[in-house]
Amino acid sequence: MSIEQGNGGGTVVEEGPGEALPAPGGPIVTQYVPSLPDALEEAEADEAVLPEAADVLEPAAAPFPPPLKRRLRAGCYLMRYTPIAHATIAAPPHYDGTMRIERDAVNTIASGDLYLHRPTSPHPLIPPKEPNPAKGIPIFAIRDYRYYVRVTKILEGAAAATQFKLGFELHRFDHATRTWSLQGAYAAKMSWTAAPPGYPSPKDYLTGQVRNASGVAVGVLTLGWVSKYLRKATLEVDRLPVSEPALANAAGLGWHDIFAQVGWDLTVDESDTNLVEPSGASWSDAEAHATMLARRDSADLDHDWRYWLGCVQQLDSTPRGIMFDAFGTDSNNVPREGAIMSSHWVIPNQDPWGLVKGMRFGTATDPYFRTGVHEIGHAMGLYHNTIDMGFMNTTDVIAASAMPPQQFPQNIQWSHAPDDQKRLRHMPDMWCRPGGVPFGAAFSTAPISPDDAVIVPDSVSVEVSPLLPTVPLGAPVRIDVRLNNAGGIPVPTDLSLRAGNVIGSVTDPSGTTREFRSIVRCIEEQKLGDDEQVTGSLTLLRGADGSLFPLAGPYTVRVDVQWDVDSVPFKVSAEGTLMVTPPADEAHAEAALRVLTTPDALVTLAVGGDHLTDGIEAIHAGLDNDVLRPHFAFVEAKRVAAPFFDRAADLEGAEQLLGEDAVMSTAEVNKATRLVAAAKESGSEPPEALVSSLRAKAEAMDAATAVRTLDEL
Amino acid sequence: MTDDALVGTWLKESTDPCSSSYPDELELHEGGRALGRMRPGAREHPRWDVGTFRRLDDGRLGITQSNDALGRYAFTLAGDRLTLTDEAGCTFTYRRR
Repeated sequence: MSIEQGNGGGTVVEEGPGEALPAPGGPIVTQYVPSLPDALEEAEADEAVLPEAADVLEPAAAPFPPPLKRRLRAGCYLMRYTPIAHATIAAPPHYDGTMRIERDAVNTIASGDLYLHRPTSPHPLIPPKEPNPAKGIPIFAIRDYRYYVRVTKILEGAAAATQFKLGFELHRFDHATRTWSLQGAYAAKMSWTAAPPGYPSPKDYLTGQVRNASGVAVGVLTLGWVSKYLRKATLEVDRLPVSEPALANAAGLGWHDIFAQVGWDLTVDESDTNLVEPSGASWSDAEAHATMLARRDSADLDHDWRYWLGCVQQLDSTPRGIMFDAFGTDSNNVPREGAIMSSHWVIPNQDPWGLVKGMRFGTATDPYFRTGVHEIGHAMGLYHNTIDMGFMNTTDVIAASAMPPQQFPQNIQWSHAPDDQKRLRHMPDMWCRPGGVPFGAAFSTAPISPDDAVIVPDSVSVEVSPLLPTVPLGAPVRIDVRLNNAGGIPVPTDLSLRAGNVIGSVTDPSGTTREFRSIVRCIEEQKLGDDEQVTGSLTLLRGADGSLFPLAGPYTVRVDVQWDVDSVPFKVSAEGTLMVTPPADEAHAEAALRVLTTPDALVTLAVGGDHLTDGIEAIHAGLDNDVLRPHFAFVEAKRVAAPFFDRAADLEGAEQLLGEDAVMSTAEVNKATRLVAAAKESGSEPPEALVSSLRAKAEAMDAATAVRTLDEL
Repeated sequence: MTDDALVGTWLKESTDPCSSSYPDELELHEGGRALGRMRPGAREHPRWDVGTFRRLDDGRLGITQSNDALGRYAFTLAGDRLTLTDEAGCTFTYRRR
């Protein structure tokens, strides 16, 4: 059986110990730096989930009527682990820390860190002072760091219950060798309960008994939500009077915005503007380090993850910027505290420096600010990453990768690469906090929660194929998606972007990857089926990062189909390739430019309507060009064939647009057929030429449903 | 000698601990790109990961490091062997693949 599914034609993108914990100095197993967490296994039939809490303070009162499902709220939790072995002591030592819960539509990745909380009161009956959850994300002393918590399972279920099983590993940190070793695997049955006073969201509080791998109860774990962010830090920016502060890109995207993308609540402290050159305009690494120590506002890394960025004229050891607090320069032996960048380096007046040739670096706002983010990325424990044009790639590589008509710095990607995003969210505190593990250790030496426990079913596969192997620059790209199901697992019956089951990415000739997802999120319950085959079509033009196909050359389109069955996440993926051809002539180039630079073109393509004049004008620019016209014909025909407030459906206009050469996906033919049928039902007689044209296309595509509908008209 | 004489893939021969942070394999490309890799299981990130190289005015070889600093190395190229000495005095050798 084959089911054809359309996406409404408009697709557009974007808008995802019997062994309690050992005492310090306990046995160490294998040394390494623990691996980050993967997305998690979820769901057991007898365990359940309540609705995710809103991002607002809510009373602790029990919900009524009882919600059917509950899921861990994303964000940072104040975590406390109390080993049972110490429970009979009046003021037992325990461990405090944070648990980071990252969620998207399907995946959950969680990780945490634990710090020893020693009794500090001289009186044994007075308990130690606890972190105040009302103050948000707590910061703990480096010397007390003990464990990375690698979360391996969050078995939230689908039944009406308020418990779930949390599986995790503890990786003990050795301060002498600065490495982690696996302590053991544990599980806790966590239950939601009312929070003690002071928590910002009283209903997002959980407790559970922890058992070791042998099933022996070893302690008690509590988790209380304290912030929508995962981590908290401060960036102090000091500068020379003549140097520009690196605070934002040309579009106004600043430090807080960028780090909020990865769950960091980064506060910028724009501080000194009167740094003094120690020995002339060019700074050595040692001078940078000494100046940081002398001029920063605070050095209390046990209470503030504070990074320092200096903006000065020039640097001895590099043209643009350096994270100097590494290797032999780290005179105070506190790694990764600061970076410095040069405002007065003059960018070479030659290729490949594009639009910033010959400019003084501080005046080239985009690459200048990007360098600041790059260097602070090193301070957060990241290394160079060439997987995309993100922050940790090098400026040289990005500049050399720009392909016409795009020029450097237009090809800068204003985000971290996906693997770096995960590292910033889930690497151990000691990896990314200033003063932690020295710069230069291999990523593989750190633990990290498992990456993605989404199930890739053997019985389901997806095929991705562009409708056309070559597409002219500026045209929307139509992609056919076919989901094959050998049975056993229900699969989505709607492969449109609108349904929310399909997301993906496009990698352009320069290697830059841009994501796309539905502009409209489906809020209805998913319909699942066990059909043998489901097909759908996507029409792609823009994503959140701009045009998906901005230049000529070869492209790779990756499509992920993801869905849940009883809260168990599944995903299948596939890729297809196509070629975008360069402008055929000046008129084509102008029309393509208009389309590619008009964000509303996407919305018009996706949702139609007469209200987005910029979008309609951009679509018309495409229609007025001979090369692009066939590719935009359906977009405009769909718009005019649908009534809009007082305007009636214009089937004549649609018929004139949909000639033989109109490029249409199967989904678009189905959509057009439905519009024609709807018009007929409302009393309009569809032009015979339109019906014939559609029928010919439907027949060529073997779109049986559309053929049948058109025959009945 | 031009920079082109250095272009190629180089495998580290030295096992001296002082050279442990330098990559086990180093690619030097035309145009001045440098790419370093460690063997699987290495505990250190390569001091030279993604960067550039060029001969400096003082005759030394400059290779950018993983923290964006420009490392300066005295070097000799003899046949297929490239020997470098860093600023801390550590000497290590690569052989052309």
